[in-house]
Amino acid sequence: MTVVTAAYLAAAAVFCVGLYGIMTKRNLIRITMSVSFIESAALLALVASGYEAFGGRPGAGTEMACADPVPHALALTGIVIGVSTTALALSLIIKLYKNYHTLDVADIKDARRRWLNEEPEGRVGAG
Amino acid sequence: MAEARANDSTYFARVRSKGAAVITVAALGAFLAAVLLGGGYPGPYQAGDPTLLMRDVSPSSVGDTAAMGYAAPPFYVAGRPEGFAHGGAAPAGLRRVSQRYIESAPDDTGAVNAVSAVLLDYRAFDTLGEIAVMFAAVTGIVALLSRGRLPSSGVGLSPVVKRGALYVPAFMFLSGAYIALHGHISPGGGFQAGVIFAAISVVLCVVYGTAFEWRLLNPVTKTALESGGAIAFMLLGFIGPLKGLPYLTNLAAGLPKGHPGSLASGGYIPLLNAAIAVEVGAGLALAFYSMIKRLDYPEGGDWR
Repeated sequence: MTVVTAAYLAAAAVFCVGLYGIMTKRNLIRITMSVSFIESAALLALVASGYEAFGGRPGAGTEMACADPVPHALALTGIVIGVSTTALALSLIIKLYKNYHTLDVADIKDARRRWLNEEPEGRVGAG
Repeated sequence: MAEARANDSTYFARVRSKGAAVITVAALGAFLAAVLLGGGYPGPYQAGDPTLLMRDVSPSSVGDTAAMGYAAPPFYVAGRPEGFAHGGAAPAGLRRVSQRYIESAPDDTGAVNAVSAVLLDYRAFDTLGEIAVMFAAVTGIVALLSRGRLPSSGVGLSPVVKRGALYVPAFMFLSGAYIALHGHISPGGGFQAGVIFAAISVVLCVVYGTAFEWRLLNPVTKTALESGGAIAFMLLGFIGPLKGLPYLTNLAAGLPKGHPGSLASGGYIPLLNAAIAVEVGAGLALAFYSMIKRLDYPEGGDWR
């Protein structure tokens, strides 16, 4: 197993952890953390794709092999976008907590249904 | 009720139980691993295939495309020559754009760090969009959390910590400035330095209290720094159009190249790094301050 293979498998594993968190967790902050996990998996795969065996950091003008700079630059862009979206999501969560006094997605949905003066509808797929 | 809520616990997908979630996740993960290990590219190379990740753009040094012996723009697949198909060879005559970046970045841009050369010279327009995203996110955070009480949310830690942490921000500033100004020589750059600058604000908030931080660097100052950094980036890009060249042209617009590897080299790359560091640092500090300030509303006020 090469280093790149191991990194890809690790990226797939981290992606799965994040997806599992999104699908099962009810706490909004945990859901945001899971989204960050998935983002980290994408970045790991991206950086690993530029790996060169026995290569140094992507500097230029040297004779030795060096890693591919383009995935590194893309990963840098991805990190910045991820930080921006995560920060915006967390600030929205702060506002939600101030409004509903809970971080539970299901509680927020119930409160919102009550607020809309609707009867709680029969849940699709409940049983 | 509890049973019904347990079934409603999924937010993005309605799966019945954790078992179903595990199976779904495992299937998706196996698919993802297969795609990644297969090179991320399912078939033989064909020109114009939309599944290719990106296409080369012409280098920012205008006019030297033909001189570099660099005819048709080649395609680039995930940085790996073995990324073409399953063991299939890359088509003849294809040269990897990354190879060109690594080999000729010092000549094209004056920057030794190839990542900085890609980020701030070859694809500097992408970076402009990147800082626009950061700017928009910070604007959104501040607008969302704008109705809190401003100055006094915390009083800081004990006098021992306050005294002990007295010299920390100065060294953090030094470290951030080093990383920003050496971004074209060694790993680092404006974004990393900006995060360190924002950490100075975090240290001040935690150790000395938000009131002190508010007096030292109030949000208006941070807003001015953030906007100033972004505007400086955009104005530096106008050197090219003034000479009749494309926007964000570096060395071809007559900026000094310097000796690659020295501090004063790379045309406007150190200046762009400094502008990005100021923009990102002030923006993240502003976002942090907006988040930790106490969101007290006056009695009887509404919650919106």
